[in-house]
Amino acid sequence: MRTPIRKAAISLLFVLAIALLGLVACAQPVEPDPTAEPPDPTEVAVEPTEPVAEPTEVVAEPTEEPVAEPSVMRVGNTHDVVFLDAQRVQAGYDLPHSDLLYSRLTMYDDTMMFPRPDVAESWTVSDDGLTYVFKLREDVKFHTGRGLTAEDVVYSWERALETIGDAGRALGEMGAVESYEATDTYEFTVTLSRLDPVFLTTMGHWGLALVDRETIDQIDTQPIGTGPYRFVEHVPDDRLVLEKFQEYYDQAALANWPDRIVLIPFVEERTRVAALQAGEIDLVVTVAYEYLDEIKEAPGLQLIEQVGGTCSYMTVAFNLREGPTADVRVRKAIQHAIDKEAIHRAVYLGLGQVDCNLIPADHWAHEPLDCPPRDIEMARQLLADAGYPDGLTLSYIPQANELTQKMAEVIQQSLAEAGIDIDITVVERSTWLDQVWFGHDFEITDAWYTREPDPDGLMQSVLRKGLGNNVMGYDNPEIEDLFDAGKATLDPDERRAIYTQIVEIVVFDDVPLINIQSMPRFAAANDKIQNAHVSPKGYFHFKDFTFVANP
Amino acid sequence: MQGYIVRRIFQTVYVVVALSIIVFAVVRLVPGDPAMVRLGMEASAEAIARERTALGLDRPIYVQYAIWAANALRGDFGVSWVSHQPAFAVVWEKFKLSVPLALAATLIGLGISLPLGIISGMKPYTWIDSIATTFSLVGIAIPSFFTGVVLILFFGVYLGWLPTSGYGPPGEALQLRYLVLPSTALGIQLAAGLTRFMRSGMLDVMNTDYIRTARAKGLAEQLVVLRHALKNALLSVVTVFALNFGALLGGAVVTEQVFRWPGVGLLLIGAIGNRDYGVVQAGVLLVALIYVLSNLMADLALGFLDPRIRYD
Repeated sequence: MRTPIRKAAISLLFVLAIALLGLVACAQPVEPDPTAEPPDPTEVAVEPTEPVAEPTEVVAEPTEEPVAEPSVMRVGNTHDVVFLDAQRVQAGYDLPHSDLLYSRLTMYDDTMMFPRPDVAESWTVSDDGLTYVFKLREDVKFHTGRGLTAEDVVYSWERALETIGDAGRALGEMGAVESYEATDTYEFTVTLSRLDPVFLTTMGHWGLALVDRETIDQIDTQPIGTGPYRFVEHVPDDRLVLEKFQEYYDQAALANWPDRIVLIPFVEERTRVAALQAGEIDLVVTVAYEYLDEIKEAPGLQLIEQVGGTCSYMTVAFNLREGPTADVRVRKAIQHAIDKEAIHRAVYLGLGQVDCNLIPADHWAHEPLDCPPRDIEMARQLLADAGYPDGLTLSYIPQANELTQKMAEVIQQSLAEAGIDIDITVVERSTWLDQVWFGHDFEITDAWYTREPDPDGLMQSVLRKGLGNNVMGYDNPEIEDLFDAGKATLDPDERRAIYTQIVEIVVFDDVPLINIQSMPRFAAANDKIQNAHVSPKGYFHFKDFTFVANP
Repeated sequence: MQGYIVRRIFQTVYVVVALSIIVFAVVRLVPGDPAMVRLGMEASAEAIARERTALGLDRPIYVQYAIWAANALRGDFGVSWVSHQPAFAVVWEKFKLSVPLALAATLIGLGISLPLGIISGMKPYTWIDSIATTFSLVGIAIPSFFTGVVLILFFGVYLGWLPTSGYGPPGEALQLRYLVLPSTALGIQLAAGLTRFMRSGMLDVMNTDYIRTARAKGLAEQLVVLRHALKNALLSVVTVFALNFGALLGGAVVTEQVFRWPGVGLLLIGAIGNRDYGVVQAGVLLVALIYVLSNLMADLALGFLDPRIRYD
């Protein structure tokens, strides 16, 4: 009979053995390293390939040249890949690989206000401004090796604008396009139905990525584009590995970039920054405000900033369809009661600029406005006029992110002074989408808009009736006319006046939303990343930087 | 005993079927669906409706469940709309990474809690008991998120001794040094709870008559503890441990997120956010199975430790 102590010992040994076996068994099998260099052709070349003709001759030993390590750039992204298909991309975290795998007719410049040649090396515009003829490069190849022609551009546009259509992002930006066709092997012609001052710039939109019709069935798992990097592998929640496409048309640019780029998702902000500080990654695509000082002070790290200003702005949005917020006096009361300066200090740590104008202060179309001041008495009077002399309670459903949830708390405190009780309900993103964004079941929410830099792109989808970002249900025919007028002229002064008029109606008359402040965006990197910048939309420009493996 | 095991296995089938129905219903009844998440904020209502039809979400929920269940019985748990890979394969790959983390955390947790709890229970109200109690209370009170961040900043960033996150260099197999920080963060929390149970079990047992008898027989204190006290004191620890182990394997969500450990927890939290129904369904079923099996193992271990417990 076994003694109890022996039983206990056997039990413990059993547990330990199982644990160790599990550890060994469950360790991942050794996979080929995707960051490892492919066989070096120069190494093969030095091998003697022919028999030595004269055995008596002394044959020189093949000289062993040092094999250069492949350069690898490790990028800390905010989220795992959702769409490898660039035409379906919905969010900024899918833009790095969208930029690296694919090309468009043009790409954005630093300010995103002007186009730079990409696949289209040049273009002409008819005198009436309605016909654009793009001359395509003849040396552009897909990652399969097949050359790109204008027919591929037609196919890509048909897919983006018709097959995907309103399920994607490109269609909303292309309202002026009447027709498009391949007018020669390397010539693509677009006809507009009306003037569009931002048409050319829009050619760089991610949704207009050029895709390969021959491999389109595998675009979700093995995407093929014409960009500077080709797809190697995607391991969900772990990594996306891209490798330099040696036949990319712009060899000069390619020489500035690493052999491989590994995109690594870090959901947790703190961990992402720590990995950069520890030298485990080279670039963090976006940095939360609270870590900016830490990065500035860290030796060998740099903050990468926007060079063309920001086109991100934070708003508080009202439901205009029903309930107390359908009354403009209630909205104006809130406008007078919100303490934007407190939000600016407490939530945004003094970064960005407080303003009532949706057009950021450093924008060419910006006109200073005499913004409604914080005035609690005025707010109380407006509430009384609206039939709420004793105040009221409103529900507030912030977006599912830490920043806006903090903002909701500060707003709750500042509105309390005017007798407005705010009932905050925090929900996760999908619920917010369903309930607030599509279901319109809310009174107050917030919307962090990151739009196109042109004033039309900056505001039209937010303020025009029925468009995708108009969560408020805002509908003002005068605004519609003004947006149309803004697109009917190319004169900057005239356009500035039109967009200022729009902003004035929004701020002083209708108040469908309240602009809190502009939202600057930052990336951070070590010194391997040079000459880099963040676009006005807040995204690291993956086609405009230099990588130095050994700085 | 064999009859008991067979009955428990049958019970497992009931649990899994019931759970599959509950999970299937709950993920579809909460607001938001894959069509909405997939098409994003600017999609039109018509586009979302078309997408729902394409995904089969416009059918009655019982029809959707019947189709899912029929496929699941054939081993087909659907395809992840995010990764476009078979849902169960996605979950299984992540599970293989959760197992070593759970086992390493278990070793650390037991390695700390058993000796600390035993000594603490043997010598109550002494300085060593105070240390053990303080450790337990602090360990339970501090969330693993905080412990994880502190470990990352100190050992990963400040000292640079250990990697801050991940399970190995990109594309390479799991490396033990990557396991140290996340398993320590989890292990400390596990140890904190188990130490309390071990201490309390020892305190109860050490005051019983049979221990007094053992001492009266002149047995050395070490033998009294190891031969007579330990087994009975372990009873509650085994039950608590089984529940904790199931939780560790089922996904230590916070720890996996903080350490970017791509295990089941991280997968499931992302899949729930994306309304990736196939992955949620497959993942929850796997986690449920783990819970049921780890509790079955605990019950069997209790019978082994205490012969008075009979299951027939």
